[in-house]
Amino acid sequence: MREYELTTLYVDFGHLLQSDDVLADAIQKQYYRFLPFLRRALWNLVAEHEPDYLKINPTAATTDSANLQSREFSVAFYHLPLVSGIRDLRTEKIGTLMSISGTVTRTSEVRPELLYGSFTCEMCNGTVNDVEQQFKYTEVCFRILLGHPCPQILQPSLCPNPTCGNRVAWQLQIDSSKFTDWQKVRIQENPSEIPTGSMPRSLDVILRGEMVERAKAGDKCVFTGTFIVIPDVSQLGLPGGNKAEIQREAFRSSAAAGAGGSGVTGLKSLGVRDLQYKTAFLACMVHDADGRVS
Amino acid sequence: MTTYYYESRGHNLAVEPALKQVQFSVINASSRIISSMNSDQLSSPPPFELSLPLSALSEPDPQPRTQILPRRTTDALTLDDVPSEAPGTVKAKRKKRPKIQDSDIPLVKDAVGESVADTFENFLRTYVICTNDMQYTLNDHVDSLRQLILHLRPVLMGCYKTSRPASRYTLIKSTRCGSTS
Repeated sequence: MREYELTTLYVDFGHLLQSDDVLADAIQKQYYRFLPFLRRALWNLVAEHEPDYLKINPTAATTDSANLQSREFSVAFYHLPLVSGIRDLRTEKIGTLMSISGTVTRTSEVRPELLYGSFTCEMCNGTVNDVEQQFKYTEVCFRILLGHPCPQILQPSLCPNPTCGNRVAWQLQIDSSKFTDWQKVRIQENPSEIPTGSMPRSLDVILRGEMVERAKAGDKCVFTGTFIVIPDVSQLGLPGGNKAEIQREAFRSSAAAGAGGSGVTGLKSLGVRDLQYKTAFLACMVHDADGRVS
Repeated sequence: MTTYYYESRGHNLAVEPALKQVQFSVINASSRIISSMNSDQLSSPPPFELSLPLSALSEPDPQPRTQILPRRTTDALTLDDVPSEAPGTVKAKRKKRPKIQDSDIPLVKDAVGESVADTFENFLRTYVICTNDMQYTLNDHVDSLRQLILHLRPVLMGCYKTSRPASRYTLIKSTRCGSTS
């Protein structure tokens, strides 16, 4: 890894099955639960063998040791015994390690995703590090990098300074925050897997780190990772909320006003919005369907 | 049952007579208070105007409203001047939040996860590192073998040339030449 400046360790799942089938079974069944532990195990291993490789200087401007950040390592499994189709995804598959095959139809640009945010309290100038930002910042990171305020920031709930008590006034420190590459790829069922008379199904695949830009449109790829359900926070962060929902609400309220009075309204009129969810596939490994790594 | 109709802010309200007696007593009491507070002692009491419908008067507040106190801010400079609260109060009983450890990887308390992490680390240590060592050893062997081949190449080529059998083409050509000649 150090020789090629990699942060991803590629593990053949067949080797894991041969070595410890209980561990392989546990990882396969509860992959999303054990993912932080697997990364921590890799981190410990790197710390044991290559302790200098743990730190990275993101700015590369100064050689000050205080500027060093820790690298984010990840584990990529491949050669799973079974490759499923998009149509086989069910509720029981959520969080499990699996491989799916499909044809890439669309790829997004590579964006920075904030993994861990570092915040400074605007009242006492205290710093809160490593605030996890899972699936929060992705669509607004450009705004953050450009210095625009962002409503979707997952800020610390309370300033750790006991004399401060600040909950709202936070400033994101971009230099000390941890970003990673992020890309969304849309895949479609392979033509051979579509049942007769059915329309092809599609799925969003999220790629991170070294996996970005590995799949191109038109490629027939196998993605290894897990099927996840993520909250659609982008709708919550918008100032006007979901546009279609707002229009429906406006139509209802106007109809009610025309009927003679506003009547009893629900929580939506108070600003409470529904939290919407969407499914996606969080991939840790991408390779071509013929087994060739891009 | 007779019902009484009262007009309040343009709305007709139908209420029970018993309920209305209570409301009238409330109205009369409040009007008396207002007239007693009037220093000029008007000949006729001022008309009592209801800003709410009568039905609102009849229902007492189920829960007394708590008084909203202004938020107390604590200044770091005057922290010592603030008297410490007596032990046993809610604030004193509140447990102290665990201090966030400033580590690179956030710690998650999961016993099964910890065991999985240990097992996976052992797997990586025994399999990947050993495989890498074997690979490096194999690469070293391959390199040494390559060097040996490069050294022995001239000798091997000489042996190859001397022991090279005649190709089929030359054999055919020689036989043809022999036949024609």
